[in-house]
Amino acid sequence: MILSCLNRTIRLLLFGLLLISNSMLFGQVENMPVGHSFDRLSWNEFVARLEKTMPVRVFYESDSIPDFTVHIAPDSNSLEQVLEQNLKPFDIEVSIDKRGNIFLTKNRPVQTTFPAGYFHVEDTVHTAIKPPGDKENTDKKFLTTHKNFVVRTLVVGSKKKGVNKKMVTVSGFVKRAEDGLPVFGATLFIEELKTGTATNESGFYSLTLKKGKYTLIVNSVDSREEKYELDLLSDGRLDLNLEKKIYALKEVIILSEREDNVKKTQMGHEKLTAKSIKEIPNVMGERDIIKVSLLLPGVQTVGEGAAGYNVRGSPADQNMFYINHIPIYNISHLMGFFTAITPEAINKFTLYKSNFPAQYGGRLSSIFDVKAKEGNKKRFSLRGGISPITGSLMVEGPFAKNKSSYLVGVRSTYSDWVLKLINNYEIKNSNAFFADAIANFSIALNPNNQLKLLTYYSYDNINLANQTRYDYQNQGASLGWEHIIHNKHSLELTFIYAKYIFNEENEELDLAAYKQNYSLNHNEVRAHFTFRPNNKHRLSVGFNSVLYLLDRGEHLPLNDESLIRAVYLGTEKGIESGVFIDEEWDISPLFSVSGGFRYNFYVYLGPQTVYEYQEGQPLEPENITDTLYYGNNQVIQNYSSPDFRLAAKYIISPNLSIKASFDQMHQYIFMLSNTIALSPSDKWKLVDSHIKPMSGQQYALGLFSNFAKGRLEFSAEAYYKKVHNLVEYKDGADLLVNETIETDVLQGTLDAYGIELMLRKPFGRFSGWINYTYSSSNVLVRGSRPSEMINFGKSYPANYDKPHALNVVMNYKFSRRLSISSNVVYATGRPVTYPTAIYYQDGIKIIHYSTRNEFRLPDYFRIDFSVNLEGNLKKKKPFHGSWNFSVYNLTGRKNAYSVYFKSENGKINGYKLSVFGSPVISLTYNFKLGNYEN
Amino acid sequence: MKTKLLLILVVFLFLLPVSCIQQYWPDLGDKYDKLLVVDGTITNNPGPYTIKLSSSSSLDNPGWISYPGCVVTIICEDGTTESLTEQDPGVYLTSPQGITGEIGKKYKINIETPDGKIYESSFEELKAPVELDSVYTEIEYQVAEGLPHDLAGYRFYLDTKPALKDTNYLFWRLESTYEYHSDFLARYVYDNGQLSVFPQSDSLFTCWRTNKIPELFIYGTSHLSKPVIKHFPLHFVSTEDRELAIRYSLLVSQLTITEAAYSYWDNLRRQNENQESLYTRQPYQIRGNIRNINNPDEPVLGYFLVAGVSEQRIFVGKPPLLFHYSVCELTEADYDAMRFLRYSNKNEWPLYITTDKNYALALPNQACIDCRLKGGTNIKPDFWEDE
Repeated sequence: MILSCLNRTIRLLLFGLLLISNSMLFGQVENMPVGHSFDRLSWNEFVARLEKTMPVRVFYESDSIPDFTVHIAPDSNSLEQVLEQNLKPFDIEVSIDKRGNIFLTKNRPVQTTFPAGYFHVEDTVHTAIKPPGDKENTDKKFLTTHKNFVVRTLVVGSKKKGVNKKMVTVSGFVKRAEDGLPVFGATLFIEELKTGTATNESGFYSLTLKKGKYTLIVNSVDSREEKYELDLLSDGRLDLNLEKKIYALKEVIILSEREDNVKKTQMGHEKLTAKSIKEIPNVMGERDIIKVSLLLPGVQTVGEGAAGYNVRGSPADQNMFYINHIPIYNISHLMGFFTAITPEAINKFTLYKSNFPAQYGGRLSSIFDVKAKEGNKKRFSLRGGISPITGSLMVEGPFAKNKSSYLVGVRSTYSDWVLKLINNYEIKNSNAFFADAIANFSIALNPNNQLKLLTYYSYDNINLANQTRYDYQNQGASLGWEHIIHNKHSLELTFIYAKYIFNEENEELDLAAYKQNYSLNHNEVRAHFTFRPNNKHRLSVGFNSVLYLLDRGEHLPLNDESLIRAVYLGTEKGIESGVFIDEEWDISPLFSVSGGFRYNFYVYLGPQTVYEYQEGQPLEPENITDTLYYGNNQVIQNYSSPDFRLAAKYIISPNLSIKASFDQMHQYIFMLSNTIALSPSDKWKLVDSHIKPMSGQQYALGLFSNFAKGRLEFSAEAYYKKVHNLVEYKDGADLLVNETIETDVLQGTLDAYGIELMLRKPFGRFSGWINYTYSSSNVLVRGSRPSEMINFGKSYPANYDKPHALNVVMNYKFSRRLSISSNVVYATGRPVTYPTAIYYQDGIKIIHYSTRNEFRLPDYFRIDFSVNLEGNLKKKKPFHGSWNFSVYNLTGRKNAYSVYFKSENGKINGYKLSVFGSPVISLTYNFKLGNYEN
Repeated sequence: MKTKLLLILVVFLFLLPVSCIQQYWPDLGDKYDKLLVVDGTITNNPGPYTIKLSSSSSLDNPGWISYPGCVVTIICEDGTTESLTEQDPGVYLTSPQGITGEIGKKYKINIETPDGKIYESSFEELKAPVELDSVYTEIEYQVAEGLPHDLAGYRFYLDTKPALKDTNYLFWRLESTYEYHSDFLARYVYDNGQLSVFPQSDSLFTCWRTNKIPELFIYGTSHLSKPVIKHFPLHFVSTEDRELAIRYSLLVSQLTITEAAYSYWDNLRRQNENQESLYTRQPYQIRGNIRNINNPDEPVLGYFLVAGVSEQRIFVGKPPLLFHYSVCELTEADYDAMRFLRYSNKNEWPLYITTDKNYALALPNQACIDCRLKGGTNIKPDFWEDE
């Protein structure tokens, strides 16, 4: 029989047939011999004869297999072999279940058994799936579940409890069936009421409805849509397990739905899972979430291999990078070539560019929220990878099955020895080492209480020709307690610790050899209470408070020859706190608004030495009139300010919505940096009595659409951003040893606007996205005196201002084992201050420069390509491996990182530096325990 | 600094030459051409002092373009003034018996251009000079790209005497002089169509060449615990050339300058040094101490330097190192050339001729026989001290 078009009625039919075929159970159908009477039959005849003479039914789409002649090879005559050999040229996968049903699908085999736990229901849950037969019999269970798929009624609560109640609340967790991990952002939609909710980070949801029967549709990013009949009798608990690996229905019957671009309220954010970034080509085969983010609209960098990233026209220090609430103050390995996050330990990340939840504050431009993977709660698992420069390993497993789990991931460079082989003094005496590790523990104390502990560590040690040595590390830990109250509300309490430690030794010049250290300590407590009075409202309130302890470090002579004067730069202490309230209100199914309010309070505390400057005079060392000493915890300065966040969404049609948002942010810590790219020696500094907090406002408007039956998503977002008190530095300011930073700081304004267009095809054999961004970002520093101006008081483009940016990411799956990917990146060259004239002074040729950022570097263009080859798909095997071959910058275009000019032997030469000026080829091997699926 | 890191990464990447540096010229307008440039110094050493005025040139066509016809005046705060005379176009000199800089006094310059614009510097104090203590050399090896061996040579260093004040700003001018020899002795000379014996055969053999070192050396002592500088590296001379082959002399002029002048030069130095690094600081326009008095926003380039000076000269002999410069050898063509002497161009006369060990005559490349053609003079400088 041929299923040329499968729809829901046919799906019914399909399961009906499955029931019938059950009675013809013969056992090992796939090993049945196929006689020579089948040889040289046409395909259609072959199928007809097969179904006539054997207890089998063949399911396939008629147009996926043309009518060809079947050959039976003499040495292979089992049914499975015959089908596989004959259908291989058409990329058809053969799946045969125990009842003799043969599924022939393009590329993806049909899973004919359901993993254990697919319909796992905990005992405490008032959920009933009505099985018509004996639960013990696995074959019957299979049938049962399929029958229930069609009409699966989930009864919540009991009639008795529900007496006298009109409204009832149903709540619970949505988890992944295969490993029991929570599903964040799964949507639960009541078809009849056109209303619904989404799960939080713990996978928790809560819905309050009138008693009665409903159709519940559950969706999430990487699982298929589930539909249930819901019979609400009283308050109760309903946990749902989502299965993502059953392709039988997903592949053939329905197009899976997902988190909906159009329906969700949020805008200005990007969400990616670890899986979706896996195949994107990267430099040296290192999976890197920041490098992937640079392919998203509105995210830029000053150059490849540069540390830091710029979101919507803001400097790099206006980004917050969190991993499970731990802020990471230096996210770069090897000064920016890699990202200091163990790639294997990442589950997903969200990048907020606007429409910031009120729980976040303290950074003006973006929140990069990385969620670490939670350990598998069902079984032990191990995976790892080897790339040209690093090795990584991750182990995970349960402490107590279904209750608590651990995950430990580490990565480290191993090829430092290569450097020693090179017959070059500078390289031989150099080394570059980095490592990072994540350990994640999750403990379910009981269904309502969860403990989560994450520890993070990254380390870099760089020695350049024994002249400059950098040594820096990030440490972090977060301990979170999640508590569910009355199945409805949730409370999250988190304690966070993060520390960044930096050391530098420099002996480029003997008499000025120095060492310098620096550290930043971040201690935070965060409480977040989510309250759902009813389905139309979602209220969250909370607070967070950060105690910063900075040690600006010592600048000391490195040895006896050095004549460097020891300078102790002192410590800094500050507390940044915020209370917040966020409310999402669905006014109607089509129109919803959300509002957030955050009140920030910042105090700068002693011990501290503060200089007073002459009234009305510029802050220059010679204008210091007094030195004030503040004792420990004495308040030197405080700032407080409200942040408002507003957003609205209106659904114009089921496939089109419009959204708008306004965000206000304040920032109390900034990076001391006056290099174009972030340098490893850049340090954080708190705002104080001379340097005011930065503030920013952003207005954004977006249009979101799904079309081609939801296979394509389109969005257009426009934004306008203004930053006040932007910290800039006087020309040539020395920030390394500066006891009076305020004398080198100037505060100005930043104006940025842009439009981001994104077209995405999230699913299918061919997937990927294309986006185009037009943007502008300008800085103005205009004090009242010439010395308080930059660029003589005229506005200039920011260093990372790249008006046109185009990114294309493509992935094509030939089969489950083989896929290829490619990126295409184009961006306008960044602005640059070029030398414009030559003059002579004391016999030396001198270059005179243009005004700030008057010119631009040549445009940037790059194509990357990668091939992913998975190991075989055998079900029973000890471990599974995969190869990734990637070429970065396939065309070898020599993109300019910088253009600089040097006076050499009296001649001026212009040079263009390309960081990756030829194709970078790498081969990475990844492995894990278990088979392809696990 | 990051270029070094790149080098390391390159090694990581299967030794592929991934990062690269190429020559590159961007397209620039001519908006910045023809700005007034002032270049001159007054010190506590007796004059005459030179002030050079020029126009800025474009990057792709660099050159010194004189700015003639100006009235240039040096003014002391005590009222002494002197108007300079234009000796060559754009080169203005004080008279030998004219103004002399005095320690502790302030000086400025005033320039009136032929089109009536008036430029003036700010008053700057002539600082008491920090004395030089010693200048010395050390052998140094450097890794050199494209060379089969390490680059070897002398690095010059200096020590100063302790300064009287804690904060001093120093600026060094270096002038090198080296002795070098021709590869052949001139035995005969062909002039006016006649071949004759060249009597002073060694007069074209030994020359001395003097160069200003076009490198910038400055240092501020504000962050040192004692106002004394030890082991300050100056320039490096390699054995890839003839400079160190016989005898080498370095004249170090140590100028003690004002903070403003130091800041100007320091900015220039940073911009020049920093450009190769990936962590480049933003370059910016640097303006000196001269302004158009009617239009202060007009960019005027250069600096009128007022400085106290201390000088020292040292001599060094040939270092115990291998030299790698090329030496001329006689070829067949050189012998053949003798036969065509009479067809030589008059403009090339006199032509010097050498003999080999068999007394055969040969006409080598003239730069190999007449040392003056390599930029030096065969007149021994007054200061030269032989070993």
